[in-house]
Amino acid sequence: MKYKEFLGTIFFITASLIIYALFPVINSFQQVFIMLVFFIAFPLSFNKLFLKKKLNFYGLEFGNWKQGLLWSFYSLIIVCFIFFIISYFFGFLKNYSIPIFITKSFLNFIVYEFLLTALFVLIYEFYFRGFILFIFETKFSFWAILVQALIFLSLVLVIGHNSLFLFLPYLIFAPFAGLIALKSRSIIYSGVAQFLIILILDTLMVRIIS
Amino acid sequence: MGKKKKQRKINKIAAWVVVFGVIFSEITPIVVQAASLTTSGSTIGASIGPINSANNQRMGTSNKQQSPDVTVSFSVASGIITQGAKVTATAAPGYFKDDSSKLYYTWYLERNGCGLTKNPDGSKGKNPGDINRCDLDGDGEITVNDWKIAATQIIVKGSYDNTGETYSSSVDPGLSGYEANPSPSNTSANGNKGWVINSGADVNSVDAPNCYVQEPESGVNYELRKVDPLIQACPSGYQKVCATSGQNASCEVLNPSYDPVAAAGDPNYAIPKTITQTTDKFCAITNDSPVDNKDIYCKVTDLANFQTAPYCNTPNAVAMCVKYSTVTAAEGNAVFPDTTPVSSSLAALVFKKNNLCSSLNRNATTPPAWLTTKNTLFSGLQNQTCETAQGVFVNGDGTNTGDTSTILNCSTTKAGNVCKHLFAKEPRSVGGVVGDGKFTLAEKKFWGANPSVSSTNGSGADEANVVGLGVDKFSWLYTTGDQVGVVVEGDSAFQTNHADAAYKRMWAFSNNQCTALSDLHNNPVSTFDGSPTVNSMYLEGPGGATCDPTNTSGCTGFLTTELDLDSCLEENLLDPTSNENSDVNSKLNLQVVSEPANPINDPAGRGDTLNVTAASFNSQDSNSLSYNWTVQLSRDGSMAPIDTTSWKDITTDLEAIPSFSAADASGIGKQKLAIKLNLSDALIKGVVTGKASDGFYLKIKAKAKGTAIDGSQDAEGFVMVKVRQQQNEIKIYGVTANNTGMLTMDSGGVELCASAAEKSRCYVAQNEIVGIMVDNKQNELTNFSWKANGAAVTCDASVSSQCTTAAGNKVFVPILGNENEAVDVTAKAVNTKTNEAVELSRHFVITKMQAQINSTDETKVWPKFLGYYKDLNGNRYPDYSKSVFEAAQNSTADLLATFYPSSLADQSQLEWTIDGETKYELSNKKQINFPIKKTEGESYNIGFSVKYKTGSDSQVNNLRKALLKDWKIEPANLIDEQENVSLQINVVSPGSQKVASKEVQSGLASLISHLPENLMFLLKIVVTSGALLLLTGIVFAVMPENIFSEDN
Repeated sequence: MKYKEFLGTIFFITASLIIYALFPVINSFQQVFIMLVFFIAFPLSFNKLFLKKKLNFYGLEFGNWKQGLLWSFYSLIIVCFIFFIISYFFGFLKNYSIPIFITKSFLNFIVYEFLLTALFVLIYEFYFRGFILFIFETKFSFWAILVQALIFLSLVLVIGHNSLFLFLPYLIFAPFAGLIALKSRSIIYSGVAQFLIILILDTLMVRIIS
Repeated sequence: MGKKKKQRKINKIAAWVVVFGVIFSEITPIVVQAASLTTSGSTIGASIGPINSANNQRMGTSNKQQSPDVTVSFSVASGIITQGAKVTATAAPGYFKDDSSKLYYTWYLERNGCGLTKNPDGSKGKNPGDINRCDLDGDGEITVNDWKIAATQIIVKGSYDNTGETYSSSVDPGLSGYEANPSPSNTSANGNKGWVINSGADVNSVDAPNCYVQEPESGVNYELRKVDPLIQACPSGYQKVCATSGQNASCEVLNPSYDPVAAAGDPNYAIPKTITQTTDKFCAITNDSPVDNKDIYCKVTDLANFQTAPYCNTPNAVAMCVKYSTVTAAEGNAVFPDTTPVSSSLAALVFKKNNLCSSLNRNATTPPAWLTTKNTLFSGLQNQTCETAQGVFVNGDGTNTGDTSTILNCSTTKAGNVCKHLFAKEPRSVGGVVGDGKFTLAEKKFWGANPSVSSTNGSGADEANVVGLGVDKFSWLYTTGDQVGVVVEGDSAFQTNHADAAYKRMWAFSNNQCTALSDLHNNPVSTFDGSPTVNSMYLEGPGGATCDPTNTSGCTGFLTTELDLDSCLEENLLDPTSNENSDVNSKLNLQVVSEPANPINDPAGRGDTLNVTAASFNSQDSNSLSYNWTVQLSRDGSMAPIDTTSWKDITTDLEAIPSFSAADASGIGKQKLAIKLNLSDALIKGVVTGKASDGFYLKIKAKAKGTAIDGSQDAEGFVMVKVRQQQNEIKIYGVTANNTGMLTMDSGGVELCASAAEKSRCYVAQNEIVGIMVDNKQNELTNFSWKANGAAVTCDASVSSQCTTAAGNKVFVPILGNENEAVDVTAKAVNTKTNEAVELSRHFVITKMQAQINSTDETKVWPKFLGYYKDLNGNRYPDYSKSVFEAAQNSTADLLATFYPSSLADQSQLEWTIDGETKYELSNKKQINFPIKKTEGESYNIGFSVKYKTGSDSQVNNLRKALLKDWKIEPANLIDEQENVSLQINVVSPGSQKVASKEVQSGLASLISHLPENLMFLLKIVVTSGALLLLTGIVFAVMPENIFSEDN
């Protein structure tokens, strides 16, 4: 990738994240909408207009499934352990909250996990792993994993600092997701692993609350 | 002759003197009495009473004969007189000489809307009818004759239908004819003495057969006849005059102050020669040539005693005979004694007409001195009345004898007979006479008879049916408003007072009324003053000879009247529907019944439903009856109502409760009313002044209005119901069991379902055992009988040691059934104080056990506002979450656990968790609070687990044992219910508060109000996108291509 494109992309990413952070939204619908706009539509538009790369560049392919599964497995184990540690010693689960309605019925839980959670996972995966990771990987190689994780952390700190515990699963898994994505050249496996982590955590919470 | 013989002779003579003296003294008063009985006018002209005069009869018994009468009864085959029913009127006459078959029954039928257009007195009728429909004789008026025709046509026709009949020929008129008796025609057979009035004449022959009518109240019989007056002539030398008392005149006489001498010598003499002087008052003739029956007439002065006297038409004038003389100095005045010159001891004086001044020598040439002498002659009789003068003329003055032949008398003689049959009269155009013996074709046609037969209805000749010979039954098709009457003619059972063998021919009216005759009878004085005389009398001598008016002692008096008996018919109409002799009952009536017999009122809404039904009778169309229900409450409370009980209409109050709807209380066909007995205490206390704690009385009235087919009749009925009050209370308590399954009711503890709403419906859990008790501290109630959904429930020592008596006030009931089913527990007992039955009930609904966490203070913890939902009208309502609440940072959360049913509150174990951690210090607490320490954006997960059933597991088992032991409920059916409830509290910034519920906005307004927001948002997105991409493009454009080094 040319430096011109790289720098231009950096400018674009920075500008879009700043605008995203400052953009006024008044309800959840608008929130989701701008996430789709800024994290899905904008990168696609930017690519279409400026980078003109194929979509598989951003990991939208099956890639190396063996690597994907393998690193997903490793990541899940490690992350689960991490969550155990932080839950046990730092009371993570006490601060982690889930919507109360998903505890009412299994259908609610399924709908929440496979629609809402999956959507958010998809958005984050596409933008941070698919777009940012693979763009930065062209210049920073594996350090791109850290870069995208830090960018995500920055965004969470700026926007959702009051909901830190809510984003903690995403934050903790972000570097692992980056690793999975780079190894498998696909965001599918990182996305699924990320989803599984959230799913496991939510299930635990439902169980605890029930 | 011996002394003794002499004495005996003297005694004999004395005895005869005494006897004769007694006889004469008795006779004299009779004569005097007869003379003094005249009511006014001259007492001289009175007649001596005939045999049957009132004064000659003791008690007036001859007038008190029973007159013929008739009773009419109505019958109908169905027993109910309704529109279109064939009604039969049957006449039962009495006191007639002949049997029914020989009597003439004149039926008359007034159809509804056929009122008379004119009354008998000529005035306009009360309710004149439709002439087009009702004038059957074509005279332009509706009269009783039209009514007679209406009935007679029905009688004659019978079932014959003359539609299509051409009336071109008929049988011999004689065959269909019938000659009435007396005949309506003058024939040689009847000696020209028929009742020709029926043929159109004004009067019958004097000797036509008599007929009579009895005045109903007095029983006096009147002969229908005219009479002629006869005023007798004065004797020779006397003339009939009318003289008036108190007459005077103004005369011109010489002025006593006038001096002719002085007048002759003084041309200016001012004193007038004459002056005017008014005479004294005397009796003077006012009419010296009165014309009989015009100026002077015969007046009936005492009808009962058949007395008459001549009267002058001039007011206050006396009819008298006076001697008319021209030779006396009185110049034609009548004087007594009649001497020449006029006696100075004049006893009576009647001046000639206009003769006062000359008789008193009061004239312009007579000096006053001479005048005084002359004046003295007559002045002694000033102010003498004509009656006194007449008395002197007749009886003398004690010195001179009077002349009794100068008494002026008058009498009456019988004139034409005015009897007539009351048959229906044919129009003149028909050309016939009813009852003349010939029934012509024209008559056949008019009456609608069959011209081919002599008897259309198969019962007697047609004309016989027209006259009503023996027609004692009349049947017709009834329409609402019809009235019927009958007048029966025939010879009564009593003979006349004439010297013949005749019986009184009389009439009997169906209602025995004749007001016109009663009015005439009660006006006893009638006059022969030229106007038609209607009530009068005449005297008949012995053997029918003319009666000598000067000696009527051997005569018989007959009261007469010229009254037209048709004028009595209207008041003798009978209404079949209300006639007391009917065996039908056509009046619409209602009977109202109710059940149950002793309903219970419950203000909580669990009272009985009182079903009231109105049953209608005699309705032609009961489905079209319009009902109106009202309910009244007795002010006397539980005291049984009496006639003077005051009632208050509470219909509107009951509709407001509602015990029933206004639509159910009135309308067509609303013959039933269901009243929910849920009267509030306030309503009862607001009306009842007496005691109502143990009951009150309701009067439920139904009014029904029939349609035209029922004659638009109204009917009313009511029923009184004693309503018991739900006294005493059933209380519900929690139950515990020991390890043998013996139950104990915690009656000293908290009463379950104690709120007003729960008293109407108590929510309980499935298979829950409830302890039920009736408060009976006064021990007034005994012999309790318990039922749950109709099945008997008992409690004895095997169930609980608290059930000391078999029919006690405590019972344990397992609420068996499925969710949402109901169990009604009723208790019946007897109040020993009032000896009345008492019934109580409670209603249980099985519900799923539920629990919920609520905030006790929504200013601190409030439900999260989710948005709005719209109703069907588009109105917006705020929607708040039940599971996510919000709380401000650094505040305190107060939470409350609520249970359904409420009884579970004390029967549940609670464990609270906050953020997944069990807070044991909050165990079993229904209300908790904790500080909100988290920061904005964080949240708390609050949960609590509810384990239902009382106490520890052993208590649950004990209850299981009790259910199995007492009610054979398997333990498996009793499930421990556990429920977990959770709540999320989001921490928000301090100062936040519950989104106030906004006013409901219309849907359209909401859409429009949010439309700009969403459009603005999209616009921002678009603009931002465009700006960002543009900016990026600019960056790309300005950046040099080969910045830093190329890379692949």
